[in-house]
Amino acid sequence: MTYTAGDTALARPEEVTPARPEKTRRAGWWPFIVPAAALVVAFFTVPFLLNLRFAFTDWSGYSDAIAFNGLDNFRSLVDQDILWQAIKVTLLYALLAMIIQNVFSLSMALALQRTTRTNGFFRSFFFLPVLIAPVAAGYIWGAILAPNGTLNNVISLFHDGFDYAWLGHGTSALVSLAFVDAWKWSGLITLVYIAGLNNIPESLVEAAMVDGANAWQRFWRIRFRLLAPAFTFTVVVTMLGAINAFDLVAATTRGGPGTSTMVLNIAMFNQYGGGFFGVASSLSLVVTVLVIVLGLPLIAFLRRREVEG
Amino acid sequence: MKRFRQAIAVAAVLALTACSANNSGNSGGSGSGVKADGTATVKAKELTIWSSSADAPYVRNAYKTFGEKFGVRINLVETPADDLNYIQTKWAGGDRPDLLEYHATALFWSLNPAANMIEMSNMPYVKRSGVIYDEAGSFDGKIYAAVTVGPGQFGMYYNKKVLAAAGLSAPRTYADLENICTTLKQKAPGVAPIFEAGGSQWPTQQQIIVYLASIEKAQAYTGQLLAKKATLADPAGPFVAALTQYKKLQTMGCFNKDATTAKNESSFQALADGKAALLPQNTSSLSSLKAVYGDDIAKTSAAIGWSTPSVNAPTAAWSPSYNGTWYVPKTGNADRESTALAFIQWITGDGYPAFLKETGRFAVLSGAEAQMPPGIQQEFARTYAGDKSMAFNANLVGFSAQFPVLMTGLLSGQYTPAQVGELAQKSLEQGAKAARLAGW
Repeated sequence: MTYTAGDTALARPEEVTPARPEKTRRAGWWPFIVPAAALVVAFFTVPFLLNLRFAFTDWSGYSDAIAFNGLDNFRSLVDQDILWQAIKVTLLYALLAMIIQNVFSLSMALALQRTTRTNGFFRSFFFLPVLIAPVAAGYIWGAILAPNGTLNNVISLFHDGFDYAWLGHGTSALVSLAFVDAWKWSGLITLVYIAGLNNIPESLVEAAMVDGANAWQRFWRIRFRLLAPAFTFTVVVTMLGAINAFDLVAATTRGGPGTSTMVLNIAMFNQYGGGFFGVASSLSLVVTVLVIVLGLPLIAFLRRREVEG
Repeated sequence: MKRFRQAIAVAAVLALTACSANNSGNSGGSGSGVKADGTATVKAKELTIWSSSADAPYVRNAYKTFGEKFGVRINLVETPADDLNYIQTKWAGGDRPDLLEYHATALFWSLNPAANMIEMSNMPYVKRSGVIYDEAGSFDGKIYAAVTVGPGQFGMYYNKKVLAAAGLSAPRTYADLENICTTLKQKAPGVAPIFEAGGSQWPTQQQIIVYLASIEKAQAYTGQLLAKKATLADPAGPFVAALTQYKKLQTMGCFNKDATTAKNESSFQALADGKAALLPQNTSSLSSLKAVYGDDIAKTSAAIGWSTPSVNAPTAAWSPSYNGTWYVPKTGNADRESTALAFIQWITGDGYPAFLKETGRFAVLSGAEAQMPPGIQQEFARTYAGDKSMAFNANLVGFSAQFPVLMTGLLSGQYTPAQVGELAQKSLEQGAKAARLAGW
């Protein structure tokens, strides 16, 4: 936004100061950029460029020599049924985690929106998992979801001898992990939604009531539309966060059974452990590209929706 | 322009969240030129040792004794026993200990020993070690490891009471295993004939190693695979046959119900409680088994037996012990390198008899007599004295990175035996190329 002389029309004449020359104003912005730019260069640009280079080399622990090998790393990953499988699992996991997390969080936000003592207690209660380390959460849920774990014990009260291995079958393992991820982060996303809901003018909702809108219509046509900025933030954060999943998966299934829950970062971890650093870099590059390729259009779409909605 | 700036800013933030690999260069070690010929002396006051978090007590006692005897302060850094990434990460970043406890299998090749470790081919202990370095602790004909503890064996622990109650004896072949499974399912339906710990991934390899032991002995299967005279992907080959047999046992209901999720830690208790009859394991896990019996070896031996069934005939699949296998990395510090070599000289020389006694294992160095404790360890000695071969996967470079993953895929039904064979061959190819093996 650029201020013009007209913007100061309400000020008293003696308070009006002449605008600084355009050149001076332009020169003044850069010191504010330096800290952020330095961080981005140090922790993103340099590692990213290095990674970009190593992703196309045969760098490994077996030799000091590092040579350009074109697309060999990617070919090897395809041959070993790792690349497409890990991308597929990562995207499925991210989509599931994003949907489950947002549905849970929005529901909780609607239930806990009003600031009361009871709601305050539950907000804090549901926020507790956010404070637990993901690895610890993984171990806890690993025990809960075991065939003889707490979940099956509860189900056994209604269905005798129920001993399904939730983490022992590909589909249920992936869905279970998405639920655990939702459990872990929903408390935080709920707070974002509550803040968004509290920013909606109550007069709009009241006007809709006067016009005869029912509860669903008030939610869907007013509140949900006006939640768009919060929705943009939560969808992007949950989706891209899930694409970077590692610790929770490592602590529960280690990517198994087989490769059913092998997200890209777990595949990268395995390759790194084998001393195949170039191949691990290739997988790291895939994660980066995936985040950018998915993130930018998603943000653009959701931002447009904010305006149109 | 404004939109472009926003896009750049967003892209930078997004990429920052995605950027995860820290690819610092592997500087390697330069070495100080200290002679590794048995003439090294203690020169440093401190020694940094990377040693397994699952070390047996005798390993830690060895450090303590050496430190006290020679006035060297031991700076011990524990490395997670089942996490290769920990050492790889530190190593790739140029971090080196003075002494490294590590695998003597092909896994150590990924630390680039030629560039990063002191060659110990001329150390006095090598001549007293028999032929062990033909298959372990060496790379490209040069010896880098000091293996001081008798090898471990893959086989199966069995619950004596459970088998005896069903009128069964210890298995010798896979036909015996099928028979045990069928009989137990009839006579003791609550008992899992074989305990599988798929939730920990790595234990799933053991049944395949056990199956292939007699084939490895008969036809040197590993050598054929590395020479490209055989392939793991061969649908009629031994590897796919082993996987098919494994799947058959699972289909017959021979594994515990929670085979895909059970953890290794719970397997010993299940065996002791009689919930499982057989437990595929390595003899190195005896301390975990003993812990269930209050560290009482007599009680353990009374309840649990050891056998080494294989496809055709009993054969022990041995692998060099991680505990007590040391390397001396090149650090460039002459005093520290000399002191680390002095430790190797001491543990394989003057300190060896007491160390051997404490390990309770066979002697791997001549000149000292092992005093085997009674009980199950004598069964270990008996199976090792019989037919044996090195675990088939020990020197299949790169293979172990994916093998446990593929095995749990087989267990869960994601892959067929033939698919595992094909994918395993691909991972072997990846490792062999990385290690620049001839012909790959």
